[in-house]
Amino acid sequence: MTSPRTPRSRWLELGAPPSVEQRNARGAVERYLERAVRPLAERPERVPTAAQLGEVRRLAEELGLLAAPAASGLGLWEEPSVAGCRWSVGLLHRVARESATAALCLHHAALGLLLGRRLGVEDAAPWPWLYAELGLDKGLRGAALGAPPVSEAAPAEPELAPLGAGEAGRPLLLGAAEPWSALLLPRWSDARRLSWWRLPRATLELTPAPHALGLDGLSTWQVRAPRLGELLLEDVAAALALYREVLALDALGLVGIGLGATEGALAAAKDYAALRRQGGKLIVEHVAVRLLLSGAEANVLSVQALLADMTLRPEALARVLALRSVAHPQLCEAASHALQVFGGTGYLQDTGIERRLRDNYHLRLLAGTPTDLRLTALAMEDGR
Amino acid sequence: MEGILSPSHPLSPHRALRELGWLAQPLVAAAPRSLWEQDTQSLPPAAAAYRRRVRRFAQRELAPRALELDLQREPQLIERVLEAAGRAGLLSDLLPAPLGSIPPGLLRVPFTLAQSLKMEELCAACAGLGLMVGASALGAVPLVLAGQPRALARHVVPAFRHSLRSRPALFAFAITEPSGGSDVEESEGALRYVPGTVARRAPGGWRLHGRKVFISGGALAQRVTVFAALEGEGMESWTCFVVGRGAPGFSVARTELKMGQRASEAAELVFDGVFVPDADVVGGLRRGWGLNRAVLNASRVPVGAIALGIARGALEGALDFAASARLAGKGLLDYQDVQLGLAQMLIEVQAMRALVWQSANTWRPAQARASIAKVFASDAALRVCEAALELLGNHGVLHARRVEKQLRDARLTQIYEGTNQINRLAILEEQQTWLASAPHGQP
Repeated sequence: MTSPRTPRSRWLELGAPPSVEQRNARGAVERYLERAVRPLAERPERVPTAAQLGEVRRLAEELGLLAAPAASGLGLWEEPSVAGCRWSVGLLHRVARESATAALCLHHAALGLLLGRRLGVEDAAPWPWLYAELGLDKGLRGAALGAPPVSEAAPAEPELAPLGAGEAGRPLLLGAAEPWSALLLPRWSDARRLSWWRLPRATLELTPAPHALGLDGLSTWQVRAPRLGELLLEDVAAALALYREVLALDALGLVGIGLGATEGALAAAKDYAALRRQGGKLIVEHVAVRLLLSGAEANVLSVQALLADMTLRPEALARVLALRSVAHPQLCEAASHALQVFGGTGYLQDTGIERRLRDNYHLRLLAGTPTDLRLTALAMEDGR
Repeated sequence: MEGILSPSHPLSPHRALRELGWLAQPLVAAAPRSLWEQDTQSLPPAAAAYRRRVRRFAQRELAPRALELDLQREPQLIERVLEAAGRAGLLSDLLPAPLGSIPPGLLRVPFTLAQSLKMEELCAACAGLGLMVGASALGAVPLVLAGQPRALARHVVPAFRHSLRSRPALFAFAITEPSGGSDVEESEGALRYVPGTVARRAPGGWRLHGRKVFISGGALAQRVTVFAALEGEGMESWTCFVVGRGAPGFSVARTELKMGQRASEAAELVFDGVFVPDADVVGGLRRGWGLNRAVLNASRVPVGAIALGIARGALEGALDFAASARLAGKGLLDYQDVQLGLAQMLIEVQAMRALVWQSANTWRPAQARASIAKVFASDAALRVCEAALELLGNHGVLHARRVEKQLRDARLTQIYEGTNQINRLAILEEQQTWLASAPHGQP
């Protein structure tokens, strides 16, 4: 007895019906997965190396999936239309079915490149810009609750202070894959003033702060910046518009990655349920297992629908954030159900299921937790 | 805390209750202590003292090593922790002193409750190391339940004394097989299961053939209580055997890399014609299934306590973070959403403890109550860990904060000692007569 595959949203299949460009792009994606991403997933118990993750980005560029000519519309986050958003989400989703770490590497690199283009920054280094998910932190959540909307990075004083100089006990955290040479980040100087800054890596004080929840292979640092860095964009309206755009794209990408990782877990659970026997029959024939599988599937379908809605109007930031707040808990539950189908085997690193659950929990905490997202969305709705 | 009256405010219940008359004073809690302290004071004095003692031990010996051992299992470090646990009497507390280490006062406390108190405290500090200690008790329980003086004298008492005086002599409990996880833990599955580990008759004893998997503490144990079917028979012939670590034919095939509880290895054990003398058959031939189910009934509540301990550890981690972190000019504890999140975690932990203690406080652990406690506590532990992570935000991913480890640790409690699905069915299995009879509202 075999199990049916989870039906995927049509648009998550990287565009259908395909144009010539899309057909070519799909071929490129397949080559990319084969050469750069699947090797990361072959031995789930092994942590991806910096060299492997570097290859993830290098090959994406070589195949035009990252930093492609803007006119092609195939580079990740290069095309601002609905179709472009869907293409990007679909690509991240596809990569994350194999490796969420690889997908997040691509995602942050692409957002960094987008920011570089928008802010007019040029650099000779191949991957100069890093999008640091600093935008929607608990500081902004503070704003939603009536406190001044300063980020964790900046103190409440009206003048912008060096990064990490205030807020004792809460150093700024940065999670990223190597290599990178500078941060591009938004900073609040008071409740209404936002500006964008460039902080060269050489000027930062970085202290490794190992993480162990998920996304194995990425590095995490505590960051302090004794100097302010280079001011790139001071116009408040423009800075805020860019901030909102990046927050929305980040939210789309994170949900797409989580969905891909979860679908991978669910597919593996179905395969296992169709092979493993307990109580004299395949476990897929046990209702207890079918409840787990169907529950996971319902969650996956729900997030597919949420994500489709999010990509329709990425400019509706409050809506995007609210939907994202619902999506991640559903994905964690689905991945957890998939693990449970495996029983004790699912808890072993060799199967890769536990990694997908850990990745989902990790993604859920990035760029705003569900509570942060909901409170922020409500604050946006009522104009705070 | 912003939005919450301080204890010194005239409208604070602390102050208002203190000012009630002397007749009311014995009936009101005017100066309540921490919930942990209030719960401890509700225990019999010997159990309360035991709980305090284990907590001190866990904070001294386990907590400082938890993160290091989560990243890498360092055998020498684990050995040192186990030695300390042995000397503290935590590896021999199934028998009274001088045979074991149960102090006289604690003899009046059901051993499932004592074990539950112990596991909460150990696992609040480190679930992996706590499991190493708890798994040894699990391995010895079949021998204690079987109640054979000769077997106790031959295996349990020497091991307990060895642990108390020199180096740890651990037990392990081996039921799970590569082709049968849940089948060895519930009757419906066992009915159709073809046993993978088989005992073949040999002069003077039995020879064991087969494999056991996911055996906690299996690689370090001096003795393993192994369950095997008699050759040519089904699960109804299951029999418990004691196998010594050095027995010819016995080997450890591998230890697993796990999501959490990493300080405790899960081992695959190989039995390649291991000879077991008749004297080391535990509880009699074909009594293994009953012994197994009795052990599970006794151990599932302590597994609920493991989950409780993990959840409490996560709650404490969240509290520490909330008490020290500042955000946008305010302490994290001043935010009402943080306050509400912490309150919900406290509610969950208290509910878990109430259920675990109630289910453990019996000399005859029963299947349904044991499974109810295990399922509820393990599910609630996940909720608490998720809430703690939520409170820490992106700091939750950091290993040094411990909460992500607690979430990884907690996930196993929904799987071992029977998955929560199997445990739910176990509740119905025990209660089926009552469930099938109607009406249910009648006494």
